[in-house]
Amino acid sequence: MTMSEPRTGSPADTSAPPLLEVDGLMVDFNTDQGWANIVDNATFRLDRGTTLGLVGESGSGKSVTSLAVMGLLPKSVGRVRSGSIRLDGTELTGLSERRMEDIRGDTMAMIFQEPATSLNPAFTVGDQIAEMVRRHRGVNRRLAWDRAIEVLGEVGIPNARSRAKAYPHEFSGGMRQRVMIAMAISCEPRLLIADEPTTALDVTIQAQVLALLDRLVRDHDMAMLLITHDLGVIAQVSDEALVMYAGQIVERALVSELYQLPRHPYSEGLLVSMPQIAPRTSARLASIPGSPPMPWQQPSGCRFHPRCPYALERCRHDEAILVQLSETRSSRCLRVDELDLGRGGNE
Amino acid sequence: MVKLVLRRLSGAIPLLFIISIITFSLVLMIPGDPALTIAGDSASEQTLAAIRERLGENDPILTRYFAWIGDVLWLDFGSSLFSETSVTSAIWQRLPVTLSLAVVALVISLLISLPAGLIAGLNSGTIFDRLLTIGASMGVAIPSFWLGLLLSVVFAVNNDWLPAIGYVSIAESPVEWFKHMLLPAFSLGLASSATLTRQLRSSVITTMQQDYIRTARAKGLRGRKVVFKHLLKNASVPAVTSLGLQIPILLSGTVIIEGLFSLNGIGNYAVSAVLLQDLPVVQAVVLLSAVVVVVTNLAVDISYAYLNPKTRLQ
Amino acid sequence: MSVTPDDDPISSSVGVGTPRVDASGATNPAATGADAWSNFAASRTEPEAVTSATVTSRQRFIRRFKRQRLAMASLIFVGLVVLIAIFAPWLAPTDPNKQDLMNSLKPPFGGKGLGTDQLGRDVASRLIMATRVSVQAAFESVGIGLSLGVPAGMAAGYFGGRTDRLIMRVSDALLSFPPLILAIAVIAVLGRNLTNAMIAIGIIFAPRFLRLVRAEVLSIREETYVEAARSIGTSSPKILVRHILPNAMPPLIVQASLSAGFALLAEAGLSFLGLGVQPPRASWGSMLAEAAAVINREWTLMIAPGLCIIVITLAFNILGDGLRDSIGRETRRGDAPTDEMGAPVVPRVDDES
Repeated sequence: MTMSEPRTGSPADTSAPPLLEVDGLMVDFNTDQGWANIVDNATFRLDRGTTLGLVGESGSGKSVTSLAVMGLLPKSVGRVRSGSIRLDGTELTGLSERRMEDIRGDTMAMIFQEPATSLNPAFTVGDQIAEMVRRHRGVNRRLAWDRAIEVLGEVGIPNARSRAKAYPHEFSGGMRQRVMIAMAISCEPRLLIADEPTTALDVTIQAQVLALLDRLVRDHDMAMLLITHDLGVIAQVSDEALVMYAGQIVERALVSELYQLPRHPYSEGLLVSMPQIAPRTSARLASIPGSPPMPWQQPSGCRFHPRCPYALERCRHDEAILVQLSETRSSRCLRVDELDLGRGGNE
Repeated sequence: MVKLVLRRLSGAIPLLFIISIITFSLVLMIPGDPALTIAGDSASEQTLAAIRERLGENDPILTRYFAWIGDVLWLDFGSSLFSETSVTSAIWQRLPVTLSLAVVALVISLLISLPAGLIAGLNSGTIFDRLLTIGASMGVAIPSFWLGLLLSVVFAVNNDWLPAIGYVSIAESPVEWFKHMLLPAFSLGLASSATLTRQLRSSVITTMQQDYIRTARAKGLRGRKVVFKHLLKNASVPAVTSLGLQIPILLSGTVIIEGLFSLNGIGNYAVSAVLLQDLPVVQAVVLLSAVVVVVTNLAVDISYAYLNPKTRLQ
Repeated sequence: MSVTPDDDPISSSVGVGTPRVDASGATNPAATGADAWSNFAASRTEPEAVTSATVTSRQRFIRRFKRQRLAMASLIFVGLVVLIAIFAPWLAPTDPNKQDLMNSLKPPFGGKGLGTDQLGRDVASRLIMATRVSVQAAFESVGIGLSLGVPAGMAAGYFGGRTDRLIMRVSDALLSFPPLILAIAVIAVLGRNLTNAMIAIGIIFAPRFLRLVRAEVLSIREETYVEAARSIGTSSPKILVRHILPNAMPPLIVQASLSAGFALLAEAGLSFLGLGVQPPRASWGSMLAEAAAVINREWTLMIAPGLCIIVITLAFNILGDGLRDSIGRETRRGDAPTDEMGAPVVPRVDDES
């Protein structure tokens, strides 16, 4: 249903099935307060060669959505209640663990937020990449090791041949994340999921790693699901954005559209709290007051209403549904037609 | 790696020095006149003087210490105050018994705790895990000698399944050796296996929550590989520490278990020496056991370098 | 991806339904964007986290501990055992040392309580009297361990430098001796009796207490209030006792409880070897040794003393674990290996020596 601007320049085939199609995904978690709904009816698609940004504060359900796609929800804690996840035509929900293991790392791969803890401290980085290549490509040790060196070079690790024999703690934060990226692309996945890939890094390194991701996605014609709380990150690399709040998708838009004209107060709130925009318009950096609700105490009506400056009485009672506004846009706001949102101030 | 071993070794030397001082000063702590204690109240003044001479009581303390440590460094612990036999040869003769007991006990506790801890940790919260955790708590509280008595009753007294006393050399008959070791070693090792199970379980649970385990799964590695490669090497760091801590406990245990099962080992030797206040024997056993512990700790430290490459660095 | 609730979740529904919320949007729907957000933020008073900040760490400790039912039960049980020990002479049905050779080795529950031993002494009475020995053993050894370890740990942590190095070396050396072997060595020197045995066990405990206190001193030595106390001229011992001891208390209590469990086992072991209490005094360990001597004739004699040892040791261990879990996340070392006395052992990571 949606087609974003093809950034690779290759003509996108609208009729081709999307690479990833998530439909009505419901994820529940077993909390101290019993089973609570974490992701509520998430529906989206990701086309080949495009990048989709998933934005929201922590606790919005964006990471859980990505883990559900990877089949990595902690077994005793989380479960997919219903919905469908189709990757390249294969239905992933209900797939056996063994089949999922074949797909993970091969067709889709994932990069995590904390490069410092995401690599095993007890093994060399080369070994950790090579074992994945061996697992999915079935090649011998030598070839797998060569491939590890190759991808380490590709992500910009200098002296990849000797650095492959180093342990994770011998790398800096940014370099570790490059190693994680090298690992993720080592089996040439079609889908790359990056969960806050730059959040734990220094600001100067963030841009480099983002640029690297952007380049790799183009070079290898991968699709990327980029999860972040930072709209600035989305702006740099994504084609399309999904804004999530309290387990629900509250807005879907092309990135350019979202920046010009948010159609949900939460998106607007995220926009005005971006440091590079706010100083222009307001002396004080605005932010969204309060914090997201706990999953077991979702507010009635629109889930965002307690933190929304535009909330009316009906927002407290009427359930907000995701309304399609155009081919590329949807918003889950009861006042979507009345509000004239934007990042500007006193215009 | 070699550098690390050397550094650890050099660190152990002052420790061993202090251990030797503490061991030596046991003699100085004897209240009253040691010679009188040894010879008894009715001893003549000549006898007492002779004993004092042999104890070296007439020399200054420092001289006595250096004389003693000089001999000890050549593994000469002097001779027993009562039997006149060389302490070193008496210990050497009994070493196989104690060694057999400690090693078999250690093996038994590993055979129990490794699978138990791993399975419980990987299935935490299940019935199996809970039962095992309760069992492990019980296991820690059961005194080895009570367990030994109970096993003797079941296997040797009320039935005739296993021998409950004596030792058969492994060279003589490996089967009989094993049969004779089974009850004492199990009694000795059960508490250790309970401790190790608890430790391994908790480190498996903590390690399973680590990000790199999620990464390993995200790579599509088979569950087996995730557990036996990525999990085990990391989870074994605290477990190895715990294993090292079992050595002094097992050594302590041999003192009781050897008496209970009539095994003529070093522990038994030490207990009879205590009853006779035969200090050269006691000192030898104390010092040697402490050296074993220091060496064990050294080995554990060095194993970290393999298990956790971070410690290899400066 | 943490979905566990915070201790005090800041309610997200604060401000719901207040007229202000309605007004800001309804009265001026045109005001959107950054200004709307800053006005909105300014108009809202953030809910303050008042609930847990006012609770002292001790209250939190007690609250957490009360939640652990098994540990609470163990505490009550231990208290009961101490009471039994105190009133043992009045509780024992008969004189525990009275021999009746005509009625020896009567099996338990055969009419007369828990039966009699080989000298015809009443087993139940001896078990009750033996409670005294165990409780005394626990108090003595832990007391000695504390009175040696706490001052030494304070000195090491407070003075640092050479004093610290020397004390730690001696402490490391003491930790290298297998507990029971050092204990029998001390007994060999001082002679066989319960108090000597417990002095030995206390010496073994000392390094464990010492390490806890030293770590606590090191962590709070530089804290402002100690600095302040020092600058206004309060003397060192006063600072140590006033400021550092209360902070070191919770881990010390945990360690004391776990040590008490170990002391019981050690006393039983030493008495079993004949190196602890001397006959005719009854101890669970010496009763087991006596039972062992007649195991071929009446094996049931070993059951009761053994169960006593197991149950009380278990109670001390559960109590210690419960106390440790109640101290809280900051100091809890759930994953750190502990030695047989429950003292956490931190894997050594290349300390310069």
